[in-house]
Amino acid sequence: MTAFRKFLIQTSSRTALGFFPLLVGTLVALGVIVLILNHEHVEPRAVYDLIYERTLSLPENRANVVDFWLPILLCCCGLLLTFTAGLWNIGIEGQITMGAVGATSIALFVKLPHNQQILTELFMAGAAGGAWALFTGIMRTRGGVNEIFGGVAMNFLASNFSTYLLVGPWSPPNATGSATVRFPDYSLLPSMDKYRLSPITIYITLTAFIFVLLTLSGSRWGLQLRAMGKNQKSAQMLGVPTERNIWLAMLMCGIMAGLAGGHLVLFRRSNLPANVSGGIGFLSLLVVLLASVRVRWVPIVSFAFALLYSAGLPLRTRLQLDSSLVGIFLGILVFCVLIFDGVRQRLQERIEQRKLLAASGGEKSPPPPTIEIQIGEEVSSGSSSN
Amino acid sequence: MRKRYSLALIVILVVALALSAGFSHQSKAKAQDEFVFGLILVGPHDDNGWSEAHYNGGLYVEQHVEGAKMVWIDKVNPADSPELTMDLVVEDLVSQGAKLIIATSDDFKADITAVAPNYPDITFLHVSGDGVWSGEAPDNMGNLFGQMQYGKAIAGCAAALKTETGKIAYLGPLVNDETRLFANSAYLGAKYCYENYRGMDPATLQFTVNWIGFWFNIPGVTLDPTEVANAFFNDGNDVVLSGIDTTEATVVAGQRSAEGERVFSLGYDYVDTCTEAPSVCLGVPYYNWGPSYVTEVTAVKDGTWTRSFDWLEPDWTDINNPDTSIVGFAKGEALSEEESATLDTFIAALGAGAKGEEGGINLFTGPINYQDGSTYLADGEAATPEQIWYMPQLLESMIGESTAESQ
Repeated sequence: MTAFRKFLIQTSSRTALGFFPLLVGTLVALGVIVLILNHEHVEPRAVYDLIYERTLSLPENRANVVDFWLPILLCCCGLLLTFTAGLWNIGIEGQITMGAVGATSIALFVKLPHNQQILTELFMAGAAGGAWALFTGIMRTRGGVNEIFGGVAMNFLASNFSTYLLVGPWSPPNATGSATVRFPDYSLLPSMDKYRLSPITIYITLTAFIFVLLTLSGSRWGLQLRAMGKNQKSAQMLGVPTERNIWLAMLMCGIMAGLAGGHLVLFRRSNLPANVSGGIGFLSLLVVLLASVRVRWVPIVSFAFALLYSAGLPLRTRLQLDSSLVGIFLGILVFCVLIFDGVRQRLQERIEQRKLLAASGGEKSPPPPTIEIQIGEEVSSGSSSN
Repeated sequence: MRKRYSLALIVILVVALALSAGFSHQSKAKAQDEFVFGLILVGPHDDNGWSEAHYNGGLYVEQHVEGAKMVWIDKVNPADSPELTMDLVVEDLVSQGAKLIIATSDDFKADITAVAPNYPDITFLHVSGDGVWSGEAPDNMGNLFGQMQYGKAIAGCAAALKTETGKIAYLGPLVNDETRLFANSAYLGAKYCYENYRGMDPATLQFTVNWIGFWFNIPGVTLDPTEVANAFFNDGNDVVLSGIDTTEATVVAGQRSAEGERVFSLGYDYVDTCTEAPSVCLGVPYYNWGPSYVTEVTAVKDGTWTRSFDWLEPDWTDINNPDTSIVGFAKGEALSEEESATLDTFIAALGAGAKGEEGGINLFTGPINYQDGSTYLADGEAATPEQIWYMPQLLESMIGESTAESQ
């Protein structure tokens, strides 16, 4: 066997194994989705046609998808930091909400020259989101409150605080409703001339992504976060300042989530509505899980999610599918991919066992450690590493 | 690693090709005389309430206007569709050929007012809103509504005829001019009938309003209407009038009646609301949008549409005529024959009053004071349409919050 052929076989087997959960999971999910569509008396082909027509066929439709994509990607960037550090930042929904509230507090009540106005609004969005996340981090390190429980509590608090503002001090004059009044034009993020896209949000998201990519791929801090994700106690014993890093990771994630919330109110909505985060944070959690915390995969997976998410409207208006079905489809996709990732782990264990067996000349050897989707490290296993 | 990215690229390309393959089958020919109109609903299209009434109005148009085709979307609200914006919704409906877009919630007011100028060739109709009166509506946007204050007064009268405890409650949605008007109308109807048909002292009538915060239940955002309705009955109210888009008041009354309590309810919006619990339902003031939608669609189709706020009265010759009356009142099984006859008398008197005939009733005639004791209408003063629409407070003797600030 030539070296080149050997290389091809090894690479293809590793690639096939790495892609196994994504491909098989997607196929199984598509099968389930087709069954649901049949139950709804909807032709799957019509769904595919419609998704393409209303999301990718025209520049303005693509722009809409990108507008869905940007805040999701921004949140994913933040979550990559926290997940790598081994932190489940479930509180990201609340951080988005507080970012939106922070931006609204300036948009509604302050009038500055346009550039200063936008800068102040975005600063408040990032600061509010960051502070909300940092508090969860402090509760984790100083109060001993797991960030999952702390995050859930902070989500609840943010949601109720936002609702209080809507029905109370920020309600429209002499009335109540599901949103504040629309912001004045000078408070809104500028849009591109031809497409409904915010250049500022594009720059912010791009910057965030490059920052996270560089941080996690080559920086000392990124290495520290990875070490914490693998084993926080060991990392601490080796001199990694874990408390500071938890605070920093949460703060950075909160800032990005807050900026995403700022985008939602300052560009997409032009007001602060009830339920402003709308599940974007949870969607981002799924994206990062599906991408197995791989930085380079996150833009692709999040774009696919944004595409499906933005296809929900035409599916509803043209095929009369229920509004909840798109969410169900996404859930099925994530569920199937995760299930088959578990299957992949089993397969990988067996392959490793056989290799060890062969290397030891047939003697039985202890099984390798279980390989799982490791929250806290970018790479889920040796054979599927980037 | 490169191989993996290559494979990823191939997968993406294959999926993209598979998706694009079907695209060539698009662009079906449309009938030449087809007129597409869009309907934006705030709740589910089958909610047995406000949104279903509008949806049925759209179906009525399809049946009565040649070539009319409805495109629609429901659940456009922050709880069910947080990802949607009015820009996206309108863009989608226009891309389906809609020439008239009917936005059917007062909650859409700010958004539809902002979006409409971007589509100068499309006609917009906002139900319910006062943009034409307030000057906020752009040239291509009108307002349409039924004079539901009559329906609410009839409902209030039915409640007053039935109550034994003298305690009536109103399950309110959010607080604004429209909702205050309806709560006040129900109170005025109840007060009139309590005094004039039952011979009771109106001072002994207790009329309580509680606002849940939106047109329907949004968990975590609004009060739960089921809990509010139960609280009303727990407080001794024996009739609850619904002012929200959904049927919790009737459902709760039915449940409590099944447990042996003497309680009743009145629905709102949709003609068949009483089917939720017929034995406790005194009736429902409802909207019948079909005929007025036909008028609007025909006007836009013919190019004769002009901007206006069409605040339409019931057809007093028969308020339940499905082809002529925008507001009706469907009597419920719980109304006795005697009460039903009295209610007919009241309805006839309201009609006569609306037409200015002798012996008619105009409930909006002074002296009437606001809740804080200030004068709403001086003695003998009849309210103008603007005075009826814009009432900043609940009326004197009503219990409940008048404004959002005091909630």
